[in-house]
Amino acid sequence: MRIGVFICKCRGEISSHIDYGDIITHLKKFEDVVLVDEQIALCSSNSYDELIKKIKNHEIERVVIAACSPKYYEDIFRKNIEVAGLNPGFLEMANIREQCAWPHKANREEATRKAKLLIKVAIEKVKYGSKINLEKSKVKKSVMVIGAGIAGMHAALSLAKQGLEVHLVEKKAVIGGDQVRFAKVFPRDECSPCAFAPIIAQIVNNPNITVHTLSEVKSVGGRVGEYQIKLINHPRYVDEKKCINCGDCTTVCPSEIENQYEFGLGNHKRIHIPYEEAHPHSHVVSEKTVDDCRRNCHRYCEKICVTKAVNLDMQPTELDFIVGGIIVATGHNLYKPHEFNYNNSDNVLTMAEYERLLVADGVTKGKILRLSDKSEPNAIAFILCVGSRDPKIHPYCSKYCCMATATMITQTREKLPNVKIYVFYKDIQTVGKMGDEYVRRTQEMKDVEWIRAIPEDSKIINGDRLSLKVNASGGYMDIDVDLVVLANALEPSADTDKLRQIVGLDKTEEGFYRESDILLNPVSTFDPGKYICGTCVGPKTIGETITEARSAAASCASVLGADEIIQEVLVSKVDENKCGNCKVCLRTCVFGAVKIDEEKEVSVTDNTLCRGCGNCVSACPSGARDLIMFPNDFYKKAIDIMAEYETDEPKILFLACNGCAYPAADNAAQIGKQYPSNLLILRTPCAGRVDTQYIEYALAKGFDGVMIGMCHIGSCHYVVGNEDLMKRMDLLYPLLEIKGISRKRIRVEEISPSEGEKFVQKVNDFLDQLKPVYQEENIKQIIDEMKLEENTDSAEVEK
Amino acid sequence: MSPNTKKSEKESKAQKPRVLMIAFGGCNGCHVTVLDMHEELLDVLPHIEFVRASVIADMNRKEIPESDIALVEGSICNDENLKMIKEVREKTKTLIALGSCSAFGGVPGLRNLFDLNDCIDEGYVNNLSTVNPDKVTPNDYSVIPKQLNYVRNIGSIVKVDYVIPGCPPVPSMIKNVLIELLNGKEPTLPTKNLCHECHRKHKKIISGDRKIITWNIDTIIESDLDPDLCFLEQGVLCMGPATRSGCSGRCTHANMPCRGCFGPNIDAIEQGCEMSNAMAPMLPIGLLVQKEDLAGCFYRYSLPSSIIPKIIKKHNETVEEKKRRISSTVDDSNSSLKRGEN
Repeated sequence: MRIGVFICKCRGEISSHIDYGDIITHLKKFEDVVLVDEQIALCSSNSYDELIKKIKNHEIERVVIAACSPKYYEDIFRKNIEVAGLNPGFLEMANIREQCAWPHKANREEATRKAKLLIKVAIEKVKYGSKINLEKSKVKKSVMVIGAGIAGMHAALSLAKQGLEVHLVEKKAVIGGDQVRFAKVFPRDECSPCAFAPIIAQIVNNPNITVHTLSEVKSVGGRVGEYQIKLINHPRYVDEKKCINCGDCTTVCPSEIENQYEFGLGNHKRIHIPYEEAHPHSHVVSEKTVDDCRRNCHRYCEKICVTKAVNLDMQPTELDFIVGGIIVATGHNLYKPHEFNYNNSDNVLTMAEYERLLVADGVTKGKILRLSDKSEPNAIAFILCVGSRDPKIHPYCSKYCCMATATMITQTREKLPNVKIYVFYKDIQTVGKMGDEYVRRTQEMKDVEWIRAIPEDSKIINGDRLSLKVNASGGYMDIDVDLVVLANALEPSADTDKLRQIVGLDKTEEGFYRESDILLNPVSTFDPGKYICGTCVGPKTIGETITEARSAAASCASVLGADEIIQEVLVSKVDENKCGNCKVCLRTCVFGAVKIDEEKEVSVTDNTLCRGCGNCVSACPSGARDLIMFPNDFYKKAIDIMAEYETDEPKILFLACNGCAYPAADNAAQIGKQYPSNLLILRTPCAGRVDTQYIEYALAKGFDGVMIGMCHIGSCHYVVGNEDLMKRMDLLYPLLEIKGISRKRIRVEEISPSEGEKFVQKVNDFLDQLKPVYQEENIKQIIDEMKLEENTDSAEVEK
Repeated sequence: MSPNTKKSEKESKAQKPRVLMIAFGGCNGCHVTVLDMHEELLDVLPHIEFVRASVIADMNRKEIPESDIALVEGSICNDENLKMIKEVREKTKTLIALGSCSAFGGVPGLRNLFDLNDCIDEGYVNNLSTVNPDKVTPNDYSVIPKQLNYVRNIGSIVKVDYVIPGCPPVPSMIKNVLIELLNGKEPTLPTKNLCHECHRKHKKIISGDRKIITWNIDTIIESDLDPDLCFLEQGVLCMGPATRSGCSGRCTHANMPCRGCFGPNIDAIEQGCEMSNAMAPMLPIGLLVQKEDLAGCFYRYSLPSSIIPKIIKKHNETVEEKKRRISSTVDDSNSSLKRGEN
């Protein structure tokens, strides 16, 4: 096999910490290596031509590139070796910048030795490397948009305008989101319904958009270009087409429920039109109450309906369709406060509730009245940052509150010219165009006092007033007000986690969906057909939400623009001779990619569904399954090679999942952190690929400890890989312990890509943890001694 | 009847392959299995000559004759075994490891979970049925062989040509291997796992619908077992998935779960880890750890051939620590079951 090794100096970033001459002389000793080439920067455009030329000239069959982390240029190098006539699978990168040069700056000799080792592992990997098959698949020119709020509607419209078919899926009975129910919207104090009602009308009248209200996504299968979607359509109990909105049913309905469209401020009948501008404009019965209606009511609504539209016995239906891409725009929830007597007083409102006092069709018909006694307030307090920028609740800034408060102050001043207004705030965070002057305008108003302090305590006085204790510049003071409005934080919606698992998305620590790169790819996910936008990704203003929605739509459309998508088939393969049909893989795979061939009685992989995580490969108890890109034999060989690394300190193997832990190690190096060079990193596609045999094997080969890095529980890129690993470890620990091996030798860590600092800290913790391990016998020594002992035994016998 | 038995009688008589049978640390059951071939033994006997077969005839124990085929039973437990297996290897052309003890270390191999001195004490001193007030343990190694520190399978000492696994092996498999060898062919073992041969059915499994398959872990006496349903689905730990096929599911047919005597499948290195990997997503882990003797079950026949084949001793281990280790009390602090509390 003719292997070419290309080493990048990274303009000195690598070469200043690593002895290049040493590496090159070392590499020349390898039998299969026919070319060792060094470049100042392999990522410069002329280097690609050079690379292609050299591959052709030296008839190189496999390529090893020793440079930076594969996350940067692996794809580009693959494309280039493809130009040179090689299969893209025949390339492997040795990450000598992030794993050798940067984290071991102080020790040139160790860094060089480690670089040699990593290159040797990469050379082994390309030897085992098999072809990446490229599969062409048809692209379904349609997109499912989940969530029909501002982001979802704008994404849907943008896609529909480009001629794509759009399925707009909304959980509620109406589309439009919350903002259309509010009075005015910053930064131009525009009438909110006037701004957004036309968008709803455009959605309803666009022939390319199919709206599914009261619908939930049940499952998502397949991959980019052809996702198989299953929807559950919950019944409305009123036939939209027959309903003529006469309102007779509402009149006769005997019982009421809390009105969720008024944020619980009032009640409405169980059968109702959500609100006047609602689309679809039809009556609806809430699914929560329908059971009670059926059992305890005489079905007056059914009987009175002239068009026979009402039918309380409707059942949920399922709907299957195929789409090429998915955009998730499920929006946010608002933090439910418990501070400032919110739960105890009717006169403490959240912002959304206060909005409903301001709008003309609200509970007070547009008058600002106290809900306790319907009297006009003389003093109103706005408290900002309730739940936001608080490490105990939500550490982030919710972004909308400062501006929205200013909008409300303007409106309040218009309606009640004499009211005294207090605003309590931590900082005013209005960046960019129109922000600062917008807020300053309200600061300059008469009788509006901006106080830079958040009240520490609130008391209910005189039955319905509130006294706020605040530590402002001159010491403590009590401010009594009639009405308090809390600018509550914006937080991930309750269904985020459920939907995340169905659609297959990652989430951040705050609970929002994780974008593939917050800087460079803000609306993409790790799946090229799935996009996220709006406040389900993080707090943002309406303007930003719309920008992001259109960006997601454009990104999605650009992927679906091609007639065919060329996809890499990175699948788990089955050796039919070894598969005994135990169905363990079928029970392990979360993507439904394992099917059983009933005729041959073996399991098979559905290439269109397999995502290549390798969980089934670990699970397969008969050794029949293997992963094309990360085969079993490679891992054993890699552990063999890495175990040769000589060090006086405890030697650690770090099995890092490609989704989180591997980039976390990169991140540590990028932010300049140093960690001991006796930590050797081996990449796995997912923690689910970590076979417990590798752990024992590593210990037997001379590693003192094994560390496994994985995504946070609940954030696995392959849904359950990390959970399965934890379960496997729970079974492995007792097995190791009975063999006398302390579980202190093993450490499983949840690390996310940005947690480089945590990674280094955990490595150091682990090294400390490994110290007592020296009380145990050396495993490798014992296994090596078995041969020695055999000789001494026989020597004794001969005597 | 082998196709080649028509070969001229005289010729075969003249060059009858010499077969040697020898037993080390084991129960001699595998050799008895050779007799268990019953009438089928007659298909083989005319074509071979036994030069040493303790189950068939008396013989000089110490002497090891030259042979063409050696059927070796048992694991290597003492220095005599060690010396003799090397001699057998030198004096035979084809060495067959017969039975799980010789192939993987077998049940005697479970001794590797303990220190040798503890084992000797247990056998000669502490045993309830033993009266040994002076605590005499074997010391004259000129009379009895000296125990090795740990038990090994044959493959870890000498080159093994073929393996016939099983505890005991299947008689027909022994016959087939012998006949193949006599005919100059390469005997092969099945490459699938036991589930392939097991008659038990699975409940309907929906692809992609992951579930714990049962919430109870039972031993066979505790539960009323459906004789046609997979043991694992009934909460009975069965080693079938991680075990090589070839026995035609003799235990599972008899309503007993597989104990794994055929050893790990061809590409799987060891049974213990393979079982941990496979069972983790399917069974309730906490119960499994509590109710089952995991090491005794996962490594019943294959500990000496597993990746870490013996106990790693702790320097200066206290009595409590030892007790704790042996009873494999589970420290749950790192368990995913408890993780939710943190």
